[in-house]
Amino acid sequence: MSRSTPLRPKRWTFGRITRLLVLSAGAMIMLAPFIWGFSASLKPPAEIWSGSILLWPETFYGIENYTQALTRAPLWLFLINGVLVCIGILFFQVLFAVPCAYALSKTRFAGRTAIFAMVLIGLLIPIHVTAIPLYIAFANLGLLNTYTALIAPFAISVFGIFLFRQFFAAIPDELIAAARVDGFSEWTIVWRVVLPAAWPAVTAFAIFSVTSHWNDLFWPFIVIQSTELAPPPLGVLYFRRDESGVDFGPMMAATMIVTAPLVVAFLLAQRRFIDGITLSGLKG
Amino acid sequence: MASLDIVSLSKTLGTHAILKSVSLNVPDGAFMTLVGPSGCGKSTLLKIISGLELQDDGDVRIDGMSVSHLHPKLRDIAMVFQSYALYPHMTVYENIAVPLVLRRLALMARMPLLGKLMPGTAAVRQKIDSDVRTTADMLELTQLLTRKPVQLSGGQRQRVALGRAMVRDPKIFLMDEPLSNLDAKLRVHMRAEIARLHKRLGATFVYVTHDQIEAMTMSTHVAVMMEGEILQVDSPQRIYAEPADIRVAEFIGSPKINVLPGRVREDGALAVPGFTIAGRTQLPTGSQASVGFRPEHITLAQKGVAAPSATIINLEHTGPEVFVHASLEGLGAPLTFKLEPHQAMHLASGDQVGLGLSLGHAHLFDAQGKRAPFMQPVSEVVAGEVRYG
Ligand SMILES: Nc1ncnc2c1ncn2[C@@H]1O[C@H](COP(=O)(O)OP(=O)(O)OP(=O)(O)O)[C@@H](O)[C@H]1O
Ligand SMILES: [Mg+2]
Repeated sequence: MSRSTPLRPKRWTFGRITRLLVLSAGAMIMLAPFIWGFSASLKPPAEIWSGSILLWPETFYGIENYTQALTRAPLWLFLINGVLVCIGILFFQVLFAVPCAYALSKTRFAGRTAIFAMVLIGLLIPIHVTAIPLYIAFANLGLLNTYTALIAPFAISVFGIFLFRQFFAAIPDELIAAARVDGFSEWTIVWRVVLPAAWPAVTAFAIFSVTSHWNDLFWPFIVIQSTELAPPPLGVLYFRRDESGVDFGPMMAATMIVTAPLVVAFLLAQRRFIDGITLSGLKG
Repeated sequence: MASLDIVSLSKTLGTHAILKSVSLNVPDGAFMTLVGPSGCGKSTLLKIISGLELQDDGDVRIDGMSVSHLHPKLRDIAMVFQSYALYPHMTVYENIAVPLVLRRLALMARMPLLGKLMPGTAAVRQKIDSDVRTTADMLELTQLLTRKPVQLSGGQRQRVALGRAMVRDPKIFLMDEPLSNLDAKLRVHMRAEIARLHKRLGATFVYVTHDQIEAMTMSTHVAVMMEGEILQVDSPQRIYAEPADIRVAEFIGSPKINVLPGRVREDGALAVPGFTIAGRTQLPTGSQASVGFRPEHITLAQKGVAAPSATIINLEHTGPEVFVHASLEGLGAPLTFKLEPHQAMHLASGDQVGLGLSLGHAHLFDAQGKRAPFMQPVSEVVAGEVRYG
């Protein structure tokens, strides 16, 4: 991608200043909780509720808070759980969505339109609607409080099917025809021809999938009871169940640690992240 | 190294009959070009030959054996597409190697690690490597083997697509407008290259184009298709000189043939707007017929000879020749004919000229548009019996 160099420095027109002010205000509103959280993670308990809006603590309590965060609850375990669950979900989502999207975009069969319509309807149904039936099903299968319960409900992503289908539709039919003549089987066409050609779509989808499941609290909260299986957001909640009430310093420190992987990943792959979001034409 | 027979192939999509019982015989080693206007079913026919589409009815035979039930992979044909259809994530080398790898190595042997352990794999891989390099050499692609398709020019991509088709030495090559994405100069170059390739490989080619210059210059046989039917299959020369159908006559040749509608008179002469062509036709009296003259078969009449007169609309100087558009009274469309620059020197739009029609080259078509012979060679009756006016 080429960056355009402006021929002359941009003027500080009224419109431009207004635009910047509005955007900055928006950014501040989005960032405020994080900044407050970060600041709280460095403060002793007394200072957090002191009512002062100083961002930097008077007594630096960061080391204590972060040590507590890492020792009081098995935070590493939560992070590992988060990684396992996200990878598991993404793996199965791609495994199921890609062949499905290929069938919907590049093959002809009876009922194709109807199935695609069902996918579109599926997009409209949030997890909250299906949560209780799913909970009962998992309970009856004796699968509550397992990794399976965390991964299985998301293994088939209608959003993934939809996104890949739109992307595959743009792949020329002649490419598929050439692959068939060259001797690829349908199954290898999916993985060796179509998927590599749709790599940007996969990246975009991976970003959406990982961020939403890494940050998900709703579903783990329902199906997980034991501490060892908790993914990060649920793990952070354990700081609240302390006998001494809510302990905000360590909790905020834990939150910072839990958020860090995504922030680092974003900074490292900023370009791709933004390309991915623009590509799918959607925003979180 | 194979003949191809297409036997009464039909295909309907929805309610639209795309192929209407098409039959075609492509002899071993022929360069058969399918030409026809857009949407006449050329690509569909090619897809059915390759097995990418299924026909509703009819049969495809290679060397006399039906292949209609075979998967494209098993038909031993290669196909080159208009958009080249190269695998974008593979290098030129990998693109060319793909058909060999998929055919010669079993699934297990293709696996990155496992493959190394399979006995015999190394020898097969070496053979593949040497075949890819030979093909690349032949197409002058050796320098480009490590590039990805996006890093190639249109002509280079086309050569890679040809390489991918050639490398496994198929019996039949199918090409669907392979040159239409190239600029004019490159097209002329690749035209020659493909024709040379055909001679060198000695394989059977079926080549689709709607560019009639390609059809005329490259092929041993031309099949003209229209609306899902093959109208004529012949050598390029005969397609031009003896079109079997008025639609073939009108499609082949640029500028287009001049067609004069007429009616057969009792004495067998043909009355067209403005004059009569005597000379007995076999057509029934009173029936509609038309007569066609190619632009090079009309010239200016000699001074003092009675001739149909036309008014010049405009003149197109192309350099070596001049195209004259003129209107003939009673005829809706203007006539086009070709003159040498010196003949056209003193002409201007609006001039009245007498037309010299080369009756020996006239094409007669009956009411259905099928070619009909004149009873006697017309050139012999020019002097006495042709009357104008
Ligand atoms: N999937 C389809 N459903 C319905 N009709 C189709 C379909 N694909 C092609 N057709 C129709 O079939 C006819 C023949 O198409 P085909 O692609 O074979 O034409 P063509 O001769 O290759 O044209 P071109 O020179 O433009 O490539 C066209 O009229 C087209 O509209
Ligand atoms: Mg076509």
